[in-house]
Amino acid sequence: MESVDSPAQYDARSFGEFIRAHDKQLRGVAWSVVRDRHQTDDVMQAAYEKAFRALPGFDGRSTMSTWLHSIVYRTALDHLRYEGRRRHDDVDDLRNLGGGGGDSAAAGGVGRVELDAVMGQLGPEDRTALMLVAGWGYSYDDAAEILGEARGTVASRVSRARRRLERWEQ
Amino acid sequence: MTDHRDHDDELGAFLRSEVPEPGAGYWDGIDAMLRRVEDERADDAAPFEAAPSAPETGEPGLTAVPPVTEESLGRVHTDENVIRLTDMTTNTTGLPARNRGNVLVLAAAALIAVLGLGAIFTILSGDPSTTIDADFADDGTPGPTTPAPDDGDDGSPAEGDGAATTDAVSPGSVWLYAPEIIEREEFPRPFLAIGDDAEPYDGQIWASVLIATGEEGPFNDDTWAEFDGLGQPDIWLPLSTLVQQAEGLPPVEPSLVEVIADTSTPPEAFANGVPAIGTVISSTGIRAEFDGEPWILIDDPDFPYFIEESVVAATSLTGGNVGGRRCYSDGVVTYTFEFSADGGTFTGWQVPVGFADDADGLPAADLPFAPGGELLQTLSGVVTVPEEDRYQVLESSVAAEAGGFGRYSTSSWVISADFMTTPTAGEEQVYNAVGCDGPVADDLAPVEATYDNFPGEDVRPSTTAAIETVPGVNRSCYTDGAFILALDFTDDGRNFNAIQTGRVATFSGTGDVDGSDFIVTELVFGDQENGRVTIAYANWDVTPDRAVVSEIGAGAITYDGIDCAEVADDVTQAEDFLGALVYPTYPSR
Repeated sequence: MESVDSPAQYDARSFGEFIRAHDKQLRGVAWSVVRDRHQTDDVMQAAYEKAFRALPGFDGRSTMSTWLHSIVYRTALDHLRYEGRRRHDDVDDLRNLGGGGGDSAAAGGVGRVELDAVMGQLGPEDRTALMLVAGWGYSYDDAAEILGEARGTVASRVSRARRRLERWEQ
Repeated sequence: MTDHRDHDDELGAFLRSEVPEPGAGYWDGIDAMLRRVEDERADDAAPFEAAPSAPETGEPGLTAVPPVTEESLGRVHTDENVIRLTDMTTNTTGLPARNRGNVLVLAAAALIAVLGLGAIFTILSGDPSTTIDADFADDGTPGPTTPAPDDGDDGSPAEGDGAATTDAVSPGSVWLYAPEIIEREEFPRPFLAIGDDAEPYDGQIWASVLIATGEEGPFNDDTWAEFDGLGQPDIWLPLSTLVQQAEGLPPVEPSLVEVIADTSTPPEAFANGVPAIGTVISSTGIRAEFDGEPWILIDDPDFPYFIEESVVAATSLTGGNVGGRRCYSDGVVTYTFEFSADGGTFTGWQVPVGFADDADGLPAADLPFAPGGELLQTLSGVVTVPEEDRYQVLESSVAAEAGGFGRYSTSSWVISADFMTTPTAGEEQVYNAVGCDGPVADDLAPVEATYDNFPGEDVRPSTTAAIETVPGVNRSCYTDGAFILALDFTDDGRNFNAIQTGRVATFSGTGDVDGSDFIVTELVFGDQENGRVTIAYANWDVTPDRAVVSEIGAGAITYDGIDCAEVADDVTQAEDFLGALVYPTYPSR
């Protein structure tokens, strides 16, 4: 699916198959930004719609996956800022004070919750950069393309996030 | 590196496991959305056919709008300095239905005051006298001036708002652009873009505004700002799905845009306009330019990192800047600044630190913040300039830049060096270098300012050099690895003349030898025209065959005009003599 002759070949079914195959990683990007399970779902749906609508204009300069990651990331940032501007306080925010929100985090014990909290203290851009590079193994170049940032900036974000986590470990 | 990999294995597993599974109905909703979009695509066969809204079904209606084509760019009509805009969302644009009918007003003062565009931008709903005419109801008609409350927490206006305001700006005066155009990033510059996110909130209308000023290219080159109805800028970085270019407007001044986006820089720093690039604008901010992009550096020890993409923080910028060279690093990128004699301007460059272009793409190592740590090192080595990459990490994690002047990094510190000649791709060259690591304490200005080419190829790769005393010769040489201090003592050992090599200045002074302590109260470099260095004090432990620098204090140094090459002989000469050095422990004062 990565190398299609024409993006227009994607119909709802084939595009749905594609995003199903990549959803976990893509969700990782959205999650890294918004840190809320329900908002992650919202972001993903919005991003997928945006991508599917924009698909005919996809020029293939990047891989489909990278392109999708970029859309998810920007949609998530958009969503986060939108929510922040609305000064939106709800139960989810309180629930997320300890980070997490994922089931696995909740089941991981105190240390994991604390690590979640540390993650929550990182900026969304840093978290996403870390997720891409450390979580999914993207190269700095690919992560930079997804995040729309310079390679050095991404590397800096990852390094900074690592240091924060390392300090926590100590 | 190994540590990082191990750490990343564990961290990566944690990160991946942290991603929550989608909720129930997630895929059902997405599949339905995809089918809906696909249906809409089919409808696009007749894209300009106006269709009535369908409030009874809650489905989006269509409003006749011009075709969305690139030729439409710049076709915004202005009328008495008024830009008319409504985010009439139709199938043609492919915009989400949730924003349809939103009409916003941006106070003219907002853009006048902040952008200085000199024009009034008011976004109206068709009737210029109308300030707010938003339709947030579900009935397909223009809505009340007070929107219905949001019915959810999903970040969207009230659900079901599917109708465009049919009494809005007439078609032809508003041009809408589809997201795919944005994705292709095909925009001329400059242009002003209004986001589709306008909505009333807290008694105001909010919208995102994109001011694109750079060359055509990625959006991250541009600046997003948000304005509320009262003209207060805010930082909000939405992805706009509605873009409009205002043709004929005065070009947006890029630097002004940058100021808008930069909240970390004290506003007073720009009170008299935007300073030129390379100007120290305040004790806490420097406006710089790297790689053709503006940067603002701020002085915030508590946040010594990137603030925004275009902002990098440096540690203390106060003190020690005059005529000096300073290096800052956030652990990945090191920034070097060379200040003018008056401290008012600088030139700077950035150096990626410790990048290993190996398979995993991880940095070779972090550059630790080590204020007060070892400040200077020298290196010699061989650099292979890669064919394509600007930098390459070699075995010793030394990276090179293709150019006459090289900046390199290792896993623990950064060096600056001069190539003997400009290296070419694939060529191996011997270089000589002096390095400095990250943040440098203010009281070490003379040391960190040391930046001279060591003539010749033999530069000791050590910060600690022990030079044996040559009996009967009253010259003692000391080095901290960056420069060599040669002292020619008088026979009584109480006075000396000195030559400092590496920094290429001569100096003279007096000192007292009292048992094991040789105290230099002040050394003034001799070349007053070119520079003056005052070493407030230095404590030397002197024995017949060994001198140990135990402490050294430092003042400021200016070195404009000093010619490094003149001291080549002195280096050799000094090494022929004597001296010993224990790398000084720099006091933290």
